[in-house]
Amino acid sequence: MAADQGLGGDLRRIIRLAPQCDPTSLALTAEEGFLLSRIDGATPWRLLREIGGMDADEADLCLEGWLANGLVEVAGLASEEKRRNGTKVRAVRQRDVGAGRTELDESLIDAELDLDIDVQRRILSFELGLEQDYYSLLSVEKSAETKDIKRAYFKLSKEFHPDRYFRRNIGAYAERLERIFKKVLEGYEILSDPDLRAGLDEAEAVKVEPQSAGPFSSPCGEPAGPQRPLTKLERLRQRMPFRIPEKVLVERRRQAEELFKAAHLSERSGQLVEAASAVRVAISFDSTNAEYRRMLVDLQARIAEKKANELLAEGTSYSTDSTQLRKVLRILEDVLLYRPHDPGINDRAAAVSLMLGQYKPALEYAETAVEHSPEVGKYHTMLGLVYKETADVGHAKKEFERALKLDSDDVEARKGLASLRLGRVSAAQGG
Amino acid sequence: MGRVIGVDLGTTNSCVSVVENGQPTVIPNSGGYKTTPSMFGISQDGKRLVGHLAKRQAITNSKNTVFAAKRLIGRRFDSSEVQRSIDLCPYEIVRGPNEDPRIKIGGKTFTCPEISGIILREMKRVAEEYLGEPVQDAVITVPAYFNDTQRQCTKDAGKIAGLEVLRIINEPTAAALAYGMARQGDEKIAVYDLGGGTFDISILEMSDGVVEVLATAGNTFLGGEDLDRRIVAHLVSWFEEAEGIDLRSDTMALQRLKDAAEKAKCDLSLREATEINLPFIASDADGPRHLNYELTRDVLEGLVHDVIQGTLKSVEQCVQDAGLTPGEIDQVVMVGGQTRMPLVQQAVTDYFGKRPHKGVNPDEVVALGAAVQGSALVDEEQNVLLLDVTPLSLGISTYGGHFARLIERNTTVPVTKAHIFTTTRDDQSAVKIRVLQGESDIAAENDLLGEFVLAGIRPAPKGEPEIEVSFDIDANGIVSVSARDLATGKEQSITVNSTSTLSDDEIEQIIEENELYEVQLKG
Repeated sequence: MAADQGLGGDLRRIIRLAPQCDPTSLALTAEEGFLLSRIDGATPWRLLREIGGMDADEADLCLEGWLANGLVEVAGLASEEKRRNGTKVRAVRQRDVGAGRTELDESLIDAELDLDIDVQRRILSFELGLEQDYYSLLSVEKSAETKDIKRAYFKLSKEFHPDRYFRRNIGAYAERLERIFKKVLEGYEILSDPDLRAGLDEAEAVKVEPQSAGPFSSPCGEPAGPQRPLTKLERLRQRMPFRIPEKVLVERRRQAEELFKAAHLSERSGQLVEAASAVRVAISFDSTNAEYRRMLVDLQARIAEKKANELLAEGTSYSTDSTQLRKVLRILEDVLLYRPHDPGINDRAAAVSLMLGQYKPALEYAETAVEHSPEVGKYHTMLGLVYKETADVGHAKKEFERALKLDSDDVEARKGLASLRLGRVSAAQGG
Repeated sequence: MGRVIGVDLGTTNSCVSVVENGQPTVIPNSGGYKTTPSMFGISQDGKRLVGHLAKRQAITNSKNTVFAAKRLIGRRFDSSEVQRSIDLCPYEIVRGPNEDPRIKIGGKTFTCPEISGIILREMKRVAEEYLGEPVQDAVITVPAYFNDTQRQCTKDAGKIAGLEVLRIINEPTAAALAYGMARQGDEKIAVYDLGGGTFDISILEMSDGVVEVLATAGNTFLGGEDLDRRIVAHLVSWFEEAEGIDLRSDTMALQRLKDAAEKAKCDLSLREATEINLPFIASDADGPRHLNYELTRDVLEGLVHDVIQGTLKSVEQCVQDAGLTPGEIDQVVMVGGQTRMPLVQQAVTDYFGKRPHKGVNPDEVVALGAAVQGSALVDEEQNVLLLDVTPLSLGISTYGGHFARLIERNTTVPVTKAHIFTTTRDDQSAVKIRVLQGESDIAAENDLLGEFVLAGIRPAPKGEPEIEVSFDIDANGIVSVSARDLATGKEQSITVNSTSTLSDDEIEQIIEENELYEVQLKG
């Protein structure tokens, strides 16, 4: 395909940093540094030319050079986006945004708008990287001085401040710009405040421990994993707090320490809920202490486990009362915060969501269950039921058949298949 | 594309400007003056007079001539500022139905936005005459310390004048834009703005057309008119001593003294002494008396020295807020006619250790900056970006009547800030979110912008529920606040409507009335 050939290669190639490469040891120009920062092992060559901040030819030369001297390597070829049907794509898209998706959705580009196509692309691709850590977001080094950070902020402001497109017909891009600018501003505010920046760097360092993943997903765009609750909590803590006088802070820290001691006592006597509650208050008094947060995360996970076990012991007979169902769903959601991949709980959550008529989450839960235990027939049945409810007959049929293949005694799946046939008949009659 | 005018709606004088061929230009009025007095009056025969015409009748018809209405706009009738104006102003100030001050002249009561609107309409007319085309859009400046209501009332004034107000920006910020638009490189500048009625100091940083506000401080009730008042008071007591006649209750004499004081003050910026001559200022049984007094610069400086020193307190605060030292300021820009005074120049030079920038006209620079911002918004060619800030802190009232700031004043907008709050009682099922604006740590001392209740919180021990309160200010300055229970996902939110002292209906009515009046004039 001629269109997919660049200077000397396939534009679909996905580039990643070579494992032994240490980018900080290289003498790069600012432009090269920016291009390098866009390389995340997921963005294809074609896109790197567009979002790398250089002319396409320059970017080609640069990338070819790095490829030649082993700084970067080819990770694979970008494939066409898989689309099964509308519902599916939407669900996936929503999920992927949070996970730092790096593929630009060309369907969002609108030639009717009073906004250059190139600018639209730039906005869309920048938006995809919004969840990166602040250093990458602003394209500054970890060691950058405040004045460099300010310069980067000014530069991005000039590009993304909503006032640049005042009164122009830019459709949904107005919201995108606002989102981008706010995020850039947040990064600038935090990185230009020595205390907050130190806190951020500390949180980054803590991130290595699996349980306490911070809000700052890896700059290289790997999915941050579905540790949504931690991300959320941490991110909220990281947002600029309002200023409190120093003497009040000292007093609060003291109270926090006492609460923390109390929490330890409760924990030792097995009162996990009380312990978590005390730690929460401690955190509200002193939100900078990483130890408190670690303890809270640990406690919450243990409480959720306990709740989950109790719940699983209760069996599957849910009352059909919707208030009761909602309560069950809430508990299941809580459990999922800590055990996001557990297929059994996802399956239950799907069932309850379906009973409540919440099809979108039901689909997500059912898919997750199938994804993590494709060998279990009843999970396919559940997914089939969800598809059936959303009138996606084709997929429903496929899932029921898969379920029966795995477990020929699955009554639900059989019933489902039968009702699909019935549905088709009545539809035909109705038509 | 229609052009955007920039209007410096001043306490004493107003000025309008527009960007032509990339350069901001002040538009002279039909009399050839670059500024127009912010005055409105009704003549003895019922004619409406604006600007120089109103000023001309101020002495003979002071009861029916409004000046310094900007000091009243957006304030409550009971506020000390309004009460002080009532004591000082020859025109009548009455209590309006919304607890707002209204001005009664020529047998008719006017709201403050209406008076400002009449002045803005005049500025609009000046611009239209000069440009030969209708003008619709405007950027209007206000003192940095104007609160939300004062800003909203200024916007309403624009509406009454038939203008669409694209932005309200701070006067010092505008001055910085005008100064900085043509400059390259990084600079930190201080804008010292001593106007007729207000004092503002702002510190800004600019780099290649991007202007960021670092800090602002000021005093809404300190300005050139305070100096005039000091001179008038001095003259009155001198006259009382010399002639034994108290002029304090004679409004016409006071108005003449005020004019003479202002003129003498300006004279003394250029020379060491000036003569104040007011024949027939009073009369008693012995016949007419004349006031004849020589005011020297030394005496004047002695009278107002503390006022000028008072401004330096704000300056120091502002430099500190910006995290700088006076020596780190690259340039000081002076705004407002009052800054021509040698004493002011000297005080500023002493403080910053460098002489103020000479390149801008202090009377015009604010209007020029407003026009620059107008063109930055609508003209893609204009390479200027103002990172504007919110003028006052925003937050909520918390347990014990404290004010928790979520968005600090001078925060760049658009912005979103969130913080987690919790309950104060066991099994508390609802929280009331009271949205406040102001700088006091005590909630009750700040302005209430709105309130709402978040109910349905799951029963839990106090301190356990996590309620995320999030403030959002969009690019147009519209504030919305939401509260979300992180456990249940329940959410409540409001969009804070700027509180004006006028309702939409009232504005409509005023616009209609004014249109009627326009027709009458032409007919």
